[in-house]
Amino acid sequence: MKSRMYRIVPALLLTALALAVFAACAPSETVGDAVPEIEVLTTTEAYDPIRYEAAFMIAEAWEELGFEVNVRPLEFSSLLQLFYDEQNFDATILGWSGRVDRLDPQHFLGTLHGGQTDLGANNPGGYSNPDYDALFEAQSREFNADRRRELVLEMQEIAARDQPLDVLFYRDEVVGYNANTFDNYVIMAGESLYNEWTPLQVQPLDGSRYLTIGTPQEPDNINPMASTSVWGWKFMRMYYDKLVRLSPDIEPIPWAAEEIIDVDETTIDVVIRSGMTFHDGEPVTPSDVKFTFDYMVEKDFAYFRPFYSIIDSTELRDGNIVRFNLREPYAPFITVTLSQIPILPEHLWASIDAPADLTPDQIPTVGSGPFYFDQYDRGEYKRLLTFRDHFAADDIAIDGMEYIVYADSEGVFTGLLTGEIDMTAWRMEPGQITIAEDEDHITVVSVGDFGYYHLTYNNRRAPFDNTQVRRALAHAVDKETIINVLLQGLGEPGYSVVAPINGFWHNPDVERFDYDLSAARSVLEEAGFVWDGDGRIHFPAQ
Amino acid sequence: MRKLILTKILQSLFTLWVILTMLFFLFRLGLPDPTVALVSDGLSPEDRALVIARFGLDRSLPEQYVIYLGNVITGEFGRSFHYNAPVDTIIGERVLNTLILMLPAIFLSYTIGPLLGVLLAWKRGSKLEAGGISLGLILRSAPMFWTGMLAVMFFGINLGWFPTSGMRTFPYQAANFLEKILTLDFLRHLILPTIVITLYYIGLPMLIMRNTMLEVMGEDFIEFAEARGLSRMRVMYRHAARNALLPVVTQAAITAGLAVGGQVVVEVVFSWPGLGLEMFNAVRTSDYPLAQASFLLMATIILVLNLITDLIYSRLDPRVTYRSAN
Amino acid sequence: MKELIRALWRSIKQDRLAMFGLVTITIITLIAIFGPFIATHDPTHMNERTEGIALWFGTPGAPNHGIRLEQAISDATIRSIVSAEATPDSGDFLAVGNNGFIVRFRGDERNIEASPVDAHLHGVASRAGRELAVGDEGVILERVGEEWRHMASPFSDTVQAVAIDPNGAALVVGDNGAAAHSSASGAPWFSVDTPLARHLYDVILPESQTGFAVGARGTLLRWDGSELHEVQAPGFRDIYAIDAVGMDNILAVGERGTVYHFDGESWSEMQSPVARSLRGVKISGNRAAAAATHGDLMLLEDGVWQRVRSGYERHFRDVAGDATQFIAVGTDPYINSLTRPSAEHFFGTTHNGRDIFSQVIYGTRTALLVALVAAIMVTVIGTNVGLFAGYLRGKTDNILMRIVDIMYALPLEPFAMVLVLLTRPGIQIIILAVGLLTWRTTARIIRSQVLSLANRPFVKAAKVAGASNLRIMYVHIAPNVLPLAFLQLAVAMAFAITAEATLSFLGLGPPRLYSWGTILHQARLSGAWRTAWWWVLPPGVMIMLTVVSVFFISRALEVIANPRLARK
Repeated sequence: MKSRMYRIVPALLLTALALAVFAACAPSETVGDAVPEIEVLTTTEAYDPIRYEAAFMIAEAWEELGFEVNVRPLEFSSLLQLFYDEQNFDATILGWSGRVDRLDPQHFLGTLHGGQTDLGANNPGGYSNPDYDALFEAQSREFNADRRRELVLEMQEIAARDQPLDVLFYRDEVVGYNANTFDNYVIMAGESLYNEWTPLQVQPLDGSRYLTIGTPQEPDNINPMASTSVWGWKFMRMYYDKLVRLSPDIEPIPWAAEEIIDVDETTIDVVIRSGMTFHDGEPVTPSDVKFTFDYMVEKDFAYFRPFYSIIDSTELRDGNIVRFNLREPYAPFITVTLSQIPILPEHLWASIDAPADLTPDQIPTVGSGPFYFDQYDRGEYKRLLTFRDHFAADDIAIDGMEYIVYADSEGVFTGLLTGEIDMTAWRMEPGQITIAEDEDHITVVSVGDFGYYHLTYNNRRAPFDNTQVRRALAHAVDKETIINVLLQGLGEPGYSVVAPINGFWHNPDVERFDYDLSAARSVLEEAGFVWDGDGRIHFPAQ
Repeated sequence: MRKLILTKILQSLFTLWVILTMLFFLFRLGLPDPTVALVSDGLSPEDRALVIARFGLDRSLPEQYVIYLGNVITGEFGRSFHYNAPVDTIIGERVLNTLILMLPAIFLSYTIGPLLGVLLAWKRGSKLEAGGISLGLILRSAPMFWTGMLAVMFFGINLGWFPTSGMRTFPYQAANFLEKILTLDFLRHLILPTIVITLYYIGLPMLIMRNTMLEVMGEDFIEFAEARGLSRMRVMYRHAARNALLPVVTQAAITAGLAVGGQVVVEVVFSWPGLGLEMFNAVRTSDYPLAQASFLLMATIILVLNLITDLIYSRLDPRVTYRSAN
Repeated sequence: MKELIRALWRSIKQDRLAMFGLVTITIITLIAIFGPFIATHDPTHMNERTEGIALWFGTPGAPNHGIRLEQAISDATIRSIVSAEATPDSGDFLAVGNNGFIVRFRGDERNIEASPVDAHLHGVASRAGRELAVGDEGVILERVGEEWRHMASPFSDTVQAVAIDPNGAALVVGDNGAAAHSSASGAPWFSVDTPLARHLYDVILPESQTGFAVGARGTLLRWDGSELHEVQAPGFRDIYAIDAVGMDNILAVGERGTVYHFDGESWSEMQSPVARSLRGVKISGNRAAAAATHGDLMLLEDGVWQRVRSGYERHFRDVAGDATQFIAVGTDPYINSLTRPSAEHFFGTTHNGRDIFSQVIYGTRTALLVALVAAIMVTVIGTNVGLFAGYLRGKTDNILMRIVDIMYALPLEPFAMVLVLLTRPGIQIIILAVGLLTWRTTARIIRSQVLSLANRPFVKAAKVAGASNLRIMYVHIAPNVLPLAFLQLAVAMAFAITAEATLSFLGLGPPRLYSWGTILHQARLSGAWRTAWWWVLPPGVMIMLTVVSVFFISRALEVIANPRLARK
């Protein structure tokens, strides 16, 4: 028995070898190599169950086309590292969040610009199209909104045609509030309930005096000269004033400014509102405003640099005026720069040489905003109280706002269910949505987002260096099912990097690829790809 | 003896240095760049370079290592990248939170547990003993995150008896840490997690106590005491238990030492802001200074505990110590 | 070795708990081995259901809007419903759906009508003595007498909708801008040109030869009896349905809660409380209703839309109604989510409709695999380190024990996170994390045993006889520490199962490979764990059962390893 086994083994090995040699040599004259395994990078399930599940759904469809696909979920920082810093990926599912300053299409369009393909830059997919780049330069220089819009629409058309990435969907920001405690919440695109206006406008229904917000996110720190996180700024903006605030419809309105005068394209005069005071009783003066901008420039605070780097100089002028001299015309100066940078009290900051090195107890938490800083227990609790001397304070119906920090969004959701919190600052997970919708005391709010989730191909690597392949794969992503099943129907299929919620800049007429595997197959066939006996796809013959 | 102690201390310091060095290079070479998240915040490569320089990550690795080592020797653990605050303040806060969660549970387990252990040894061979042992083992086999979920689900949400998360109800006024925890409200928050942790921990001291009791009970002096006509109860709890307590005490010390690191899952389930979760997240976000310092803290505690037990037991049968160390 | 097993068996036989443990572990092992045969479903498959339903709602004054669900009218989606105005009996409704399904609602009666095709039917109309149904592949059906007839169709694209004007003239629209017109009952169909080659989803003809068609990307076309003209819509989202009372009160609904209103002069956008995709709309008197996916409905009363939650996760396709009530029909495949235990799903389903029983079965394999591999790794490393350290002593012992110290100093969860970041999440990480961090205990225990064994006469005798160190360690000492090593194997297994569950619960588990910890992780992540006890209990009970069985068995091992504990 044993000896026979020994004789069979070499025979089998020889046959296998022969077959392998045959397989390797013979077909190479008629068809190309098999397309190598494609790795799809995505987030872990814990970080985002939607991107995680979507990756598997997409992989399944691609496999049906004969590709070999391996989904690789990674911890978020590893994912970013491979994607941005190493550009070592085949295809990656990631997303851009919709921040207010991204309503201007500059940032999102820039992620496909050929000049941003270096390691660590914003276009890791490496798409580079001279026509697109030329249009990008042109629209950056174009100050007439309608003419600029034409260029922006054309760029979206090119991007849809070339499919350097597949914009998967725009996910609604779904949040909830307790309908028994407050009403008159303000809903803002991209910011949902947790915006600058909600605390100013909510009306108590049951005598509550504090608006309690639940969040799983912590500010990195509350140093206005060091914080680099959205959660730091979403907190600090409540107690700092800015010259301009964006209205719920995202129109700039003068806030700490009384008036803004465009002297010319590069000169802007801001008349500072008089009678304002900081929370320590000192008056807010134009000199504080000038100091703030000069201080940011002098200390080279990286996080705000994209906003202030356009400023050449500031000067004080009669009549409570601060004049900004810009290096060149910059359309988003009022909507972005003036609405992002907080006014710091000169008398507290001027003597601080290294503001980024302050310890938490050294940070002056004094602003001039409608709320003032009261308490911060890291990882647990924050409280702001209403500043009754603020010019907007008369309309504020609450005595303050509280933040309760939970370990994860599950904790926040429990807080909402049990009535511990009045509103959530962070979106619910899809599974929680239907539970909340069927709960009587909770109102669920679904707000469209102008950020988007994308599947970016590595345009430098085969087979994604072939436009036809990318166009074929666009047919193999079932966006409708992803939205229906994974987002509970709360989202929109994506077609362009500029979201439909951003109505002015969005191009609704770009080419769309319906989910249709046979269409995908024929595009691949036309491009010369062939399938072997096992259904595995091969490159076109050389 | 003094020389032995000195050698042991030096050995521990050396081990600590090895751990520190290992972690330093493991983190820096293995973990993702801590500033990579800034790219998705829209920071350009040039602006990101500023942040990298501020963190001191633009220097060469050996240079960073020498600086870090020098700092650690002078008791300077650096600033957390994420919080932009000194690492020791952050860890200090978290350690207190963790200890206030873990210590009551450990105290309860290691007082009730051994008492039950004595009872089991006393009722040896009875149904009570079998039942007690099974219960102890069953409790030790139910993972805390599961019992925690069940507890929150039933007592927190269904019955509404206890708060479901966090350490206290807000707002509150407190001048210092003691004032924060000496309130009824804090107790209410503490009850559920304490019960969950205690139930998990109680099995071990109970079983250790029972086992050592059985060993001790075989020894002559107990029989002698019984022969002198002392009551069974008195013999069990005064004489036998006292002699059997040492392994339990050792185990209690080890458990308490490890407790500083917290129980990540308990902290997650009850939204408890402890060191375990902080450490876990520090690694996740490549916050080297914070992660290194917390690992180092854990290592120091373990090494000190080892040192102490080593010294105490250096002349005793080592088996007694080590059997219970898991 | 044989002796050891025999001793173990004797010891287990004496201990009822150990016996229980052995039986349980055997069963669990069998479950793991035969998992794929025992599992009733693919654990990753999202189980869906498709059915034809009708949901009554919007009864004025009724509690909870008078919501009443009628399930399983058909086993395929019902796509379209209209008031059967062509028949004299008022209050009838006519509905069509997939696979040529046609049904007439009359009070509580449901009359399913014979269809000449089994293509999917998308639209239906009934007015002015005429009844039409349309569907896939250009199908147009007309009811002649008591019978539905297949009419000659001018195209082969999918026909999405049909409308009849007060005089019996009809218009159909469909994919890629297909449209056709027929002037009267029985009259032939003529193609109509459309200005855009976009999908058209619905059409209405409120007045003679006048109406609107709607479609993809905000397509709005006006029909004037001979031609379709493009009209500027107030938005660009897909419009799925349109309904009218005359030409001055028209509502159109679509993607992402889009609602447009036409007052006879111009189109404007209305605020909608529903953010999902609206699929059907119906105006009735001064009220209106719209139906969406995921069980969302809304009612228009006094000029304001109000959201109505049906409480059923069904996808609605269309809505019809009269003065007293509305009927919504559906449903496209919907996820069979969070169902309680049933004959179909023994442990119920997850929020994504996955079968929990199958997940628990597959979890058995992960748990045992990790436990076994990690425990063997732990025992092999630990025993060897213990042997070397305990026998060789001196420098070797010192170095090995310092390494043990280092291992003691690493906490499991953050360490596992480091490993995950070094490579990727996966089962090997869990095994590695558990393996690397647990051999320390085994090493110490074995070492202390070896320390005392090394002084025994038989070792000294072997030394004198000139045996090499390795020979003494592995031939003379090792067999004596074997029972202890086995005990440590069991302890390590129990620890590994708990550790695996813990790490998976924290989301570090292997993707797509179900483990009990992963199941609990997902239950928590989904938010459903508070109510879905069927999701939380089984995996936890399984962890408990497995670990406690190992504990029970290890008690019997302990008796062998440490005879002092044996019953006297």
